[in-house]
Amino acid sequence: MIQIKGLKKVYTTEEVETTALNNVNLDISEGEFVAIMGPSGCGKSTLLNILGLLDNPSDGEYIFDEQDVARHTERQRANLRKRNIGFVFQSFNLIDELTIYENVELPLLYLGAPASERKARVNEVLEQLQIMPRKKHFPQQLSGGQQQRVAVARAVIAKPRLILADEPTGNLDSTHGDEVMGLLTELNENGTTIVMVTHSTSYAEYSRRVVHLFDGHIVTENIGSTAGA
Amino acid sequence: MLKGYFKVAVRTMLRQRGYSLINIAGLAVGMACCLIITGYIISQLSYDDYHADNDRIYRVDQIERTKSAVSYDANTAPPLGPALLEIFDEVEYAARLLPANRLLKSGDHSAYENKFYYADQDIFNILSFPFLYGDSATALVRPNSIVLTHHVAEKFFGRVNPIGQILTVNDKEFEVTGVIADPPRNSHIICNALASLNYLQDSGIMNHWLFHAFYSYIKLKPGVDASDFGHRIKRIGDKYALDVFNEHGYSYDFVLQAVPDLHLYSHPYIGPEPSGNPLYLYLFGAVGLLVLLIACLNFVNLTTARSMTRAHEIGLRKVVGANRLQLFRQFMGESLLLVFLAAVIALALSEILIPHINAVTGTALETGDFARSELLWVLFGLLVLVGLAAGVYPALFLSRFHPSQMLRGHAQNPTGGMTLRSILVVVQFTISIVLIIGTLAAHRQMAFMQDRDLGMNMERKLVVPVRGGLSLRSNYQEVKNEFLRHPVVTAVSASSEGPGHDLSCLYTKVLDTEEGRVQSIPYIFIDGDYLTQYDIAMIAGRAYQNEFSSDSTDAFIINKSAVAALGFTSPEEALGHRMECGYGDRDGIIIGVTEDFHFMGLQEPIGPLVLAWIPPLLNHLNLTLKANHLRENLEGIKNIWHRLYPDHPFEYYFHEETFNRQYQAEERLGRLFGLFAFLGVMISCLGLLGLVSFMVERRAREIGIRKVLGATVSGVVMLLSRDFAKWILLANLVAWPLAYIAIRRWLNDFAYRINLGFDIFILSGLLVILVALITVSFQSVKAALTNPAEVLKCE
Repeated sequence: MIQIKGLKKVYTTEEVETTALNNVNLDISEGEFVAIMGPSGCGKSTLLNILGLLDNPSDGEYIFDEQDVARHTERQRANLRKRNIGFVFQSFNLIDELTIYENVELPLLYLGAPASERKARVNEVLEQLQIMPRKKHFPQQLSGGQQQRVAVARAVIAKPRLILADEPTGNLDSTHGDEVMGLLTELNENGTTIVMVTHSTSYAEYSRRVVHLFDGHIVTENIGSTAGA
Repeated sequence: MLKGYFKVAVRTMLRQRGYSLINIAGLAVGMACCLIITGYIISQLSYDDYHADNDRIYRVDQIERTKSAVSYDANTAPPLGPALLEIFDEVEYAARLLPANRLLKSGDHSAYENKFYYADQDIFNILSFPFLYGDSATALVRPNSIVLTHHVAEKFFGRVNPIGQILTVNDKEFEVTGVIADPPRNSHIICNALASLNYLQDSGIMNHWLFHAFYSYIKLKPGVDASDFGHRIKRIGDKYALDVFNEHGYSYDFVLQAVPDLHLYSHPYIGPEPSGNPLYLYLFGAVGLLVLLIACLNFVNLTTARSMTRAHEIGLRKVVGANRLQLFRQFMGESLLLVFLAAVIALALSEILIPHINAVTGTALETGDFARSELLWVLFGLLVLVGLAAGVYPALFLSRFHPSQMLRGHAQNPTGGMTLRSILVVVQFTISIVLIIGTLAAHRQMAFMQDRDLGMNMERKLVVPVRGGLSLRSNYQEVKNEFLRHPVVTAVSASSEGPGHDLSCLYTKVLDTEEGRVQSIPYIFIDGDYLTQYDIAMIAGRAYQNEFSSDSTDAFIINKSAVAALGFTSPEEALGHRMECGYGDRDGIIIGVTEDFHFMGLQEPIGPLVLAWIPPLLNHLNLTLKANHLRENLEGIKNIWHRLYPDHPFEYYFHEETFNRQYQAEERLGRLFGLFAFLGVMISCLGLLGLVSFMVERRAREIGIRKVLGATVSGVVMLLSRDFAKWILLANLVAWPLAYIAIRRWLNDFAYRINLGFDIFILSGLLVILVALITVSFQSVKAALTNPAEVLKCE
């Protein structure tokens, strides 16, 4: 599904050039659950942004679904993104002005789904994730764990093939963290590819493969951790 | 999707209540100003557009030339109209109006009517006066017929059909033959009563080519080229009266003035009603636009500033699939919603404000004006324009960023945004400062004109017109003594309508010099007490004296300016020379020369003037009252009047007040400028307030860190105020030269004007800086007092 070769990302400000990623090679197949680990500033989030088509690499090759997307325009990336990729963030990133229902509905709106379909689908997902009773609330009225459920609901609403989770448990206590990991595992078991950035070795064990990043390089890959399997 | 945008827009608005309020209020006020001014401009431009065929109707004015002077006049001689009709096939109708002031009486009810005209029957075929009663084709044919406007008819005859009723006009009976609708406000001429001109047919004036008292109107046949026709009538008078003109040293050019242009583009001060000034129209228009511009800049400024805080939301929307077009539409929608709200408030506001605006500025706007379709279009245009302007920037700018940057908070681009915003603030304050300087200068010029020593004393002078068929000729001494008997009356004189009013200009010729200088000179007719009563100083010769009977039969007094105008080298030289006025109506010897005094407003330089004692022309009584209780004593004076003239209403005015009325246009301008300056500063400060709170919010962390590191409260306040102070200083530097140029040009209209001191500029600058700093301090002090721990723990 994803092939990355010699990927490089350099941030340039007026005076300094910072290399966030250097010569990263990574293949991810459909249905995998990959955890990316590493110390702060090692380039995890940058990698995730590039994988999620939120950002372009400075150099190297990125094949997504057999298309070379490394030089795609914003519009092309946006198009691919909204059909194929869902995001879950550490800080939930819900829109404060929208209700739970509207937050979850948003991706379908931008996909241009008809109203009846949107309604059915949102209700289905809200039901599934047990946040139905909260659908008229605004994000601030929910606990962190509940907000992250909403974020997951939003990430899966458009049935993406890939979910990118950037420290999805980072702001949660262990009970809620476990709960979210359970959700992700369940999604993965149903065929969704998941790439997750995490600091926590125990949550990394939910994945089948852990990629360690250090200073913009992949240093090790452990395949076959099995906690979830 | 649309519903979604709308929902978010409303929620965003409510969530940021303070900003929304500032934003909408500022914009609404600006739009209201613009609407009111547009209403005013439209009403000025719509003058006389209600006349049928108004592309074919003209007033014929004249330019009078002598060897030494040129004067423009709307009043022409009675034979002009008939002559044009007789000679030129192109003329479909010609009709004349002769203005007069008459005492109208019916039963017990009597009143002066100063919008009284003698008129030709054909005036109804030229100007549109819709008839409510009577026959427009014959109403003024018979000599003793009169047509009244609806409200005058109602005043005298109640709500019944008055056709056939008798109305007394200065003791002569006229039959009411028609009632016309009250003329619209936007008419260059308001006729409340039209009596048949045939009444004057035998008076001996109707063939007089030098009797300039009539307004001559014509209607051209369809298809006539007016400019070509204008050339052909230019010297029409010569055909009839060349020898009369030559004999007196005059020549006349006649010019066509299109009736719809009369209000704004005819020669000022010569029409029957006050004319409009296109310059002021442009000025008001510009000021209105400026205030609107300030409000719009505010709106754009605040909206874009706020939108920065929404970078996160936008990032998210992009992450979940929004494309640029969708975001663009969202921002546009929000901005249009705000603008729409502002427009609704503006409309309500203008309706509420109009009576107040009218009171302050003396305009005659009506609330219904805003339902006019033109204005609604203006409003709609404003709405779309402002909405787009405010929406485009965030829509284009913010939707451009990579979502990853926005989520990390890197899209804020603080410097770029601030530069644009600083420029906007500088522009706003520049406009405000110019308006303030303009206001101060206008007020100072007004004070200067009102306080200036006029060279005569108009204080405590009560003027009582004697008209409606009355005359002071036979009983003046008796009348004078009656008034003098009242304890508060210290002096009495008689004169024609004096300084500050339109004076009649008479043909004046020095008889006994070789040159025989001819001039058209304004006259005030006075008696032997006038000069003393008004404290007018003599610089040569003597004043009129009651003891010399020849003073009222063959003597003249002229002012200093007339000395040179009549060709004398010194006041002393003028004494003893003979001159004649009118067309041989009076000749006499110059017995005295007065110091120059301001007999017209200070817009005009002092010109030549003749003060002649001609008893039949004295029709105003001037009473000097004791200093206190001017108004309280009117009752006693009124009683004396009624004892003397039981049938005539008592009319009066205070001379100083009517004199100062000449400054009405300037006073209005000053008030309007003041109003707009106030609004401009208010709106600018609202904007500043919004901007400062935005900036404080953005710099909360920085302020927290500074405080942790030891910054004092005053230090932080300084830090935040410094930037704004810098912008406003810059605004001052830009505003000063602009204001200077504009005010110099305006002051050039005045013959006597203030020196434009630097203090006005400094004062305005300081005022604005002070107001701005106070505004800024609301937020900056609050920020500086915040506990840094609160700010920093959020990070």
